[in-house]
Amino acid sequence: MATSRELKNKIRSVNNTKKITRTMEMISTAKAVVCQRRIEATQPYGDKLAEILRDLGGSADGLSGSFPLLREVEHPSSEALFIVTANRGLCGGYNSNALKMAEQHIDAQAAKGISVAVYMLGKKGISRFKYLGRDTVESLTQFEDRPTFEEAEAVISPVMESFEKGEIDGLSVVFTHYINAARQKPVLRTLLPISVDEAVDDSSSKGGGGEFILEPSPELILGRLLPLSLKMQFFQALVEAAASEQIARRMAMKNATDNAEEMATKYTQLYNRTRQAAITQEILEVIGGAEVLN
Amino acid sequence: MAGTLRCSVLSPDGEVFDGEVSFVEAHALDGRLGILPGHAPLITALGEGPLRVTLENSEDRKWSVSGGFLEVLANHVSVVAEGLREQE
Repeated sequence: MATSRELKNKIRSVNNTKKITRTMEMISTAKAVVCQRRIEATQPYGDKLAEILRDLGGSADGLSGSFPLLREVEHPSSEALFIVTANRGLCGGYNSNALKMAEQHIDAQAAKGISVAVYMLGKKGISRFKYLGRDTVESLTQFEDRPTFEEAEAVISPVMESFEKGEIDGLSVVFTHYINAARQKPVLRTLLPISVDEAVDDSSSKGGGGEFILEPSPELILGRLLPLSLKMQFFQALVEAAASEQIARRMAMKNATDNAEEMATKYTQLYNRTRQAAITQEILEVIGGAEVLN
Repeated sequence: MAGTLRCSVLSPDGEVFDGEVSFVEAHALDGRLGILPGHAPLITALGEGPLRVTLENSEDRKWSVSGGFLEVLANHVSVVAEGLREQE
């Protein structure tokens, strides 16, 4: 059995760890609230863009052929994939779940003869792919818990350009989708090619765009709207991923704190028992010694 | 001039303004554009320039906008700006 001194050390170290995990839990809780608020704040913008796109639908019928962003290739040979992971660990399965999904997708595409150019966001994903010996085109670590639209735009714009030029045939992003405060799960979302059904043909729900005055021309508006809505989708993915990361970390740290608490209780009990045993032993020895003297 | 119209100004980071206004002036691609209550449904792309709304108490609020869209539908003006900065 461990000596009381060893047990005392153990209790102290467990309590110290608990302090750290509890602090991290509280920080993540606070950050998660901020991130969730940002998701709500970006929602109306994305919704409005989708709405305008829908309203435009009726007037833009038959135009889809003339936009490079709507270009669809029958036999795609290459695509770009953004993988959104965190810069930091200690967040449970957050990184590994997203990476697992990305790896499966890359392998599935490779089996179909499609080469995938990986744009990795976050240090955790970068080191994982380095360890596995998988190739990445670009590694980005600038996204923390507050991604901005400008940053997102700067990252995705070159990729959109190479899609327009025909260097790649598709663009997807793997990120952890924020469903609600209690549920997040990794998803693979295809950003390019924009599916025409989704973008243009969905005019049935709201009267169509026939009655709108379109200034200066439907082509021009659509030509500007498509890239903006694409950037916005990417930006929203980053914002959602940031919120999911904080929530995942909060959960992980909460579990760690609970476990530490349990361990501390167990060791304290053990410590008291050893102490008790030592005292009993001592008393017995004293009594024994006294009896010998009689 | 009859009544007011609702105006919401959105940036990627969130809603910047939402309220009843009497006049909206924006910078479309091909020139300035003024919108009064009862305007016909319209979708237009915005260029770079000021966006001005006149509130009911005839106070002005201004932003400088670069890119984005403006939609008028059922007396509701929505400005979806790509870049947006508040101006005094």
